[in-house]
Amino acid sequence: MAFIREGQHIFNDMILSHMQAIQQEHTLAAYAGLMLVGFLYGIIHAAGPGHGKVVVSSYLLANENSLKRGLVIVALASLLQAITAIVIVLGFSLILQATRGEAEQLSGYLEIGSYVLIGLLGIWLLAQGINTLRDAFGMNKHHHKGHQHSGGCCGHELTPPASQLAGNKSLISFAAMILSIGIRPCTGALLLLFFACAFDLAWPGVLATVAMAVGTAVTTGALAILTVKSKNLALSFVKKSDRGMLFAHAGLRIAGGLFIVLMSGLFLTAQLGDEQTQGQSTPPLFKALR
Amino acid sequence: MREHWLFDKMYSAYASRDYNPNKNGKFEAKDLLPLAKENISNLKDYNYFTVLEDKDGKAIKFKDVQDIASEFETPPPTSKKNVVIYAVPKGVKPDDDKTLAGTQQIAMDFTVEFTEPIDLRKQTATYRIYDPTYYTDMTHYDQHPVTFVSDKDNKEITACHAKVEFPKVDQSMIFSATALDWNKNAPKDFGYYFSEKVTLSCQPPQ
Repeated sequence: MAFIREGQHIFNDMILSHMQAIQQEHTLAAYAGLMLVGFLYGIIHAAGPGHGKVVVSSYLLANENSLKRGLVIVALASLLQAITAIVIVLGFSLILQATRGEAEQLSGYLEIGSYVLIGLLGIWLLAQGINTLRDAFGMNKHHHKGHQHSGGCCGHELTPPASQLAGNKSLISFAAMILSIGIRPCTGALLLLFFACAFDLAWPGVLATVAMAVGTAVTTGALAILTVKSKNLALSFVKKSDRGMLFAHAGLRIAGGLFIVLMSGLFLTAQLGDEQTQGQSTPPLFKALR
Repeated sequence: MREHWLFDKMYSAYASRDYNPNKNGKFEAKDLLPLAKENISNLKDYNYFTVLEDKDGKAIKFKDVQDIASEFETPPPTSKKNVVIYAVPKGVKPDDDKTLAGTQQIAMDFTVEFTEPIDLRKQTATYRIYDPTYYTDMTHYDQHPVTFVSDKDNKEITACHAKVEFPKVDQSMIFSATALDWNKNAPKDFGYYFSEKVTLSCQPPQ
């Protein structure tokens, strides 16, 4: 407890003193210092809520064997989260003169959008899993020709594990994954940017935010490595037959899909419940500042 | 009881940028009092973050706050907390055109007057000053957190003493707090579990 709260104080103080240093003199060292603090803050901050750690690892567990692609997802999602925060704070607040409250409200809506997308992704994964299961039972063989699917997402061709997931569909799921995490702005970045704006240091704030995104990518990336490695290790034990492999993949996809749908549902209800109390949620000491 | 709150650098920076009722783009000492008054009126629904209890845990009621004041203050070097509290104001008369400079932060003072006086020679009393919404962390100054002053001659009463106890927080609370992002609402009265408890007494220490 003491550590976490003290930790937040220490980071606040570090960010603050580096911003004050930049305010006093625009030296390279001052900028480098701020970026370093941003990077470290990112590493720690990513351990907190958000950043799609659960979603990314469930997705990787269910549908992705390539570590490289997993890391690309993580890196791009982190970067997109930072960009979203920058657009919200700088674009919305500074250029459009919106208040911080309005900016926070917008980020709340984006969060809802993020959970909806994540839910859709879960459903897609679930459909993939069911399809793989049908393959495992040999049920899909006779359905191949002349069967049109209106949804377009749940195609009926065989979806063997890993190797053939490099097609268009997986590209879409890949992009959807990044987008669903990335449109929710990183709350740490929002805080950092609001802070930078209070000091009239918007651009140093942007630099620190990008450095912070690198930091969050390090943490979520480490988790991705762990996920893919342990999954591949586990699957190496079932590699005996193609059919066993299909069952294993079907199971992972169905479980992963269900889990993601469940999580997004939980987050969505929590967020919608929070939205209703938006009026009261402005902390009392900040009401005068809006 | 007179409370003195020192806001942290971050709040001070926000306020001096975002609170600007006379639209001249500057936050000056003359803006301090209106800000403090607005804050106090916004804090009314939250009982001014102040909870007082007698030795049996019964709430001690107080009237609306009085004698609101605010000033720029250079914090003591040991203090790095968000809001620090001490009981007696510095009574600095602010220079109206001054803006927040260097290491200065915004401070606010106000008095809560009890509806019934309590005799600390006969019984102890406790208080907590905390944000129930768990947004603002409030702690006491490390040095001289509470001063007892006679209302007759303003002299310090050395017979009285205050004990500031840091909260013991259980692991599940820490877990909930860690999982709570800053833009989310905390459960009701969540801040209580992280608040310092201060026991006031004018009885000789045991």
